[in-house]
Amino acid sequence: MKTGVIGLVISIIVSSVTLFLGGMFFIGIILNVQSQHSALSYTRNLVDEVIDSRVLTDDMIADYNLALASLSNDYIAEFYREVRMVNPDPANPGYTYNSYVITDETEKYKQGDVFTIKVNRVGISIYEVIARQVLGLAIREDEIILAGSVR
Amino acid sequence: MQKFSIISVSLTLLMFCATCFWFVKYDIESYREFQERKADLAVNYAVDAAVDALIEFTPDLSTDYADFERITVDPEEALNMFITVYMRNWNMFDTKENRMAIRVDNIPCFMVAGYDGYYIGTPTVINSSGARDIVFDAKRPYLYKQGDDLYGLNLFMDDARKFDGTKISTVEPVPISKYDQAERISTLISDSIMKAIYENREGDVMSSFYVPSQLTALTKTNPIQNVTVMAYVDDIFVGGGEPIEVFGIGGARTKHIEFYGGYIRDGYKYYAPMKLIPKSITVLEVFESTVFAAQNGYYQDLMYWEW
Repeated sequence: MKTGVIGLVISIIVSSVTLFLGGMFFIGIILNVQSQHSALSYTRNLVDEVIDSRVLTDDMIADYNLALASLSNDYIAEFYREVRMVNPDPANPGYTYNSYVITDETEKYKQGDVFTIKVNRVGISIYEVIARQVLGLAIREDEIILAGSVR
Repeated sequence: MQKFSIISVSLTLLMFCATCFWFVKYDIESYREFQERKADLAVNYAVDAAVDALIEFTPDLSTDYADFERITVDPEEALNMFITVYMRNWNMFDTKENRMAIRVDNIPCFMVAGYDGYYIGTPTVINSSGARDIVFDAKRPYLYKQGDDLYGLNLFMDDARKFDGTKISTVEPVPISKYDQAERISTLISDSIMKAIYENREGDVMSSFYVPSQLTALTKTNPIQNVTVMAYVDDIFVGGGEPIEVFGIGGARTKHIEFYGGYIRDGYKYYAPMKLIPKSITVLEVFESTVFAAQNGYYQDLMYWEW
């Protein structure tokens, strides 16, 4: 009788832990994955828009930040513009080489410039920490980087 | 009661283990899926950049305003630009070593299709030490054999070069329909790419692909209708499981260019867009592209440049 009760208690505890873990996993990890995919889509749309239109306006940045803010994770985005430089190759006369220079002028672009967006997640939810700690999973730094050449 | 408790403990422990196993598996697979999606975007952006560079940086496109569809291409320019953008998507430093690593390890096949032929670049041993690099072979024509006659097709399909065993002539119209020409060109390129991948992977190929000969929504792949770059990238390790592979295709069309003037300022040779050079400066030479200007020893003048 005693062992039967102990067994039942253990079953209830394990079931409760499983349900708790499931909740933490869903809220922490699954929602994080959905946010990452959405952030990647928004970033891709912005890169496509910039490389086609050759401008990065304040409205575009505001719309992009608003889209990221709607996700369950917190993100911070950085924009880079690299200007293409074409110069003669001193080692091989008659040949050229390309180099790229990062500039602060990120509003207007020329053909051949490289536009890069780096999106990093800020902070991590307590639910994800608990789920990862219980399951023994590492906390990943899922940085999103997309770079395109201006058309 | 005791039996019931033993069964319930066993079942709950089993359920707990299965749940943990499924969660871990989901986490690994979702991470891999996300990285595959990122890799797909990276290769697509890199291929688009390669196509743009192909048109802009090939030193001599051999074209004029009356006939500017018939252009020649430099596949090495396309490959360099592909790697430049690809590295930035993976946050890699643009160094010679990283470039060589990508060229040798990650690109088993890089194809550039021009007007009347295509180039296939594959990792090849380049010296006696066993070092490898991507080497483009000679341009392969779009050949079509009919009887004893060989036809060299082109992407615009209005005419073809015919070799009847003694001489080469131009025939117009081509004996086969445009549909058959497109099919022949796509088949040639697809077979060449698959052969290059098969040889590079030493037969370890589980699937194949085929470039369609017409625009199709089924495979979401454009056919080859103009200057095209195709890149196959593999051995992208994303942690856990097999490395991923990505295939990208991009095309281009020609446009008119801006002219650049070369001059001497403060004793140095510079070039800048013609429209930005002040009238007080004497332009010594006019170039059609920045590449031509740089080849002739002129440096980019940041003082007269649009940012």
